Amino acid sequence: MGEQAVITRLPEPTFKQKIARSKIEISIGIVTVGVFLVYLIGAPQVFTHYQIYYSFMTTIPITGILALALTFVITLGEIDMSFPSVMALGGLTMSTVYSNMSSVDYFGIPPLTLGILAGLGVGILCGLLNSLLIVGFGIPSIVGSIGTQFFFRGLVNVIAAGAGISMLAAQSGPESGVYFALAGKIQVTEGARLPMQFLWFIGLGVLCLVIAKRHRFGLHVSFVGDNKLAAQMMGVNVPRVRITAYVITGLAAAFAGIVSNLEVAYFYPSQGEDIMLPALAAVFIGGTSVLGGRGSVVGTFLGALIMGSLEAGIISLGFDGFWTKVFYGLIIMVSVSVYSFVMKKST
Amino acid sequence: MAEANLQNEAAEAAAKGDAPLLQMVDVCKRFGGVQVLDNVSLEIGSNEIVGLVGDNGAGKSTLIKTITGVHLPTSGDIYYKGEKISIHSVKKSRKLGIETVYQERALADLQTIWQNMFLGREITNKLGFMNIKEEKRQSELMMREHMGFTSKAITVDTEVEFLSGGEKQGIAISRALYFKADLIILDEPTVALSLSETQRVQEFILDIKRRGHSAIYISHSIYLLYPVCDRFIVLDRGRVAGVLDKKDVTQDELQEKMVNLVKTGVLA
Repeated sequence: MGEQAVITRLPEPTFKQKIARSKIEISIGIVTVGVFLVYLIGAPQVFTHYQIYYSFMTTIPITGILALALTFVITLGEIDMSFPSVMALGGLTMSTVYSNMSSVDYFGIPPLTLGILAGLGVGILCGLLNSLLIVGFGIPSIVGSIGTQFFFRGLVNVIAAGAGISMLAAQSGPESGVYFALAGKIQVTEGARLPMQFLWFIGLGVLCLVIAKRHRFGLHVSFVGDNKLAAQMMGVNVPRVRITAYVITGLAAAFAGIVSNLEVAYFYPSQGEDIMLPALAAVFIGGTSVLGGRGSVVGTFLGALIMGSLEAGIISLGFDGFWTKVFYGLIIMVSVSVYSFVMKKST
Repeated sequence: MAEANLQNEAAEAAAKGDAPLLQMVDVCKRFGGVQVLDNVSLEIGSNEIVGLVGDNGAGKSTLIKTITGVHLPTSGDIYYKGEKISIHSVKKSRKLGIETVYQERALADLQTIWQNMFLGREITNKLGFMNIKEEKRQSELMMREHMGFTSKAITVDTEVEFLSGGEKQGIAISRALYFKADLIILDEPTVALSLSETQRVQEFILDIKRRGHSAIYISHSIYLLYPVCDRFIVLDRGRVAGVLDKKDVTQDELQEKMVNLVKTGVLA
């Protein structure tokens, strides 16, 4: 007891130590501000008006929510390639349940809510199937999740048979409140509306940040990604941590699919096919290491802002649309090189 | 019946307070057709450092894993503080107070000192959120009090990769001491270390005894074991070839005996 009383307070970290501890977040923060400054200076006619930001707040959350969940899997040193198909499967489940059950209340749950719950449930099942292959059978994550990516997309194609499903009726029906909660628009001022999905993105971002920094799970993800053997020896339930990460990704992908369907009031079978690389790129330019052990939720959040704004930004700056991917590529190459440099310098 | 008697004896001994910390009785371990441990019986007392010596393949590693719950014995009993235990898992053995310090593998390099200190034993609320302030405070205590870290450059927020090999082992040993491990198993803790770093780890090991705990120290090197151990258990092809008290044998004699054992198969 006497021994314990010796140190009552921690020494305050110096300013330098504080900076060193957040160098990834600071780097990506500077890049984000820089990118938006370039937009502002190069295309003030676009970037001084609310409309472009409204557009960003509508589209970025879909990529962003996927990227937030992927941050955990990638910090584990693994990858999930199946999420674009899980997105479509989640959306398909919701749309199908909704359009087929509109006259009946199952278990007293109205059809849209039931569809959303079913979609999220399917997302969890997809995460569990990934876990079975990757954690259970020990298949490398990239291989296992490429397999499930095809499998889930195949299911979507078979069930939807190439046809889309309209969700227009849900916007005005008795469950318009549910619709609004996921993809509605809040009238902030007369000329400015705020998309609900952006609030979800911020909320889930904060939740992921708190889990990564303050919850046992976030800590265990970093340890498993860093040194699986050490984590195991110190009593971390490694399989459970990995399964949880895949289930979170499945759940987030289904959620993103559902929100994206409601946003355009339409399900289409090729949904999510173009989102894989931007979502992964958002995680990597956010400073999460593909080698595992080091992840940044703040970085991912900012990375999603950059990735989601590039296309519109580049076109506004007067470049031809064909240039978009060149800039995507440049941003990714430069940012990961900077991280490599910053992290090496510290050792 | 015989077992019941043995159990009673052990319980009585525990009540009297003179039970050994750890007792193994006729422990055998077979992997398929290979007998790796052959009727091993040994005792570890409280507050003593015991050196476990033996050539490669003598069964040291299997013996340790049987104690720590990685393997279950094929037959035989293990008593801890006089009570018969059937350790099923590493987690359970840690709960009892048996902790292992491995080569350099037990810490995660990219994570901070405080995160490593409390890994698997986080101070959390019911929802699993950590009390980071308290974990850092206690880590600070461990570093300053148990390890004598006074450098300002190394704080609890320092990532482990910035520590030397000896300091890492220091963290692993302090962690074990701090969480009241009565029996610390040191499995070749200095294998990858420089001479001066090895010396630091030797100091940490002496500290285990000074603080009233016990340890089993495994090393290939008699010259490392001899200065810090009280007793030596010699293992040879899965059997206990002999137990030697430090006062009965010099370092050179022990070294010689080990060489002879390899040649002749007899500890003499």
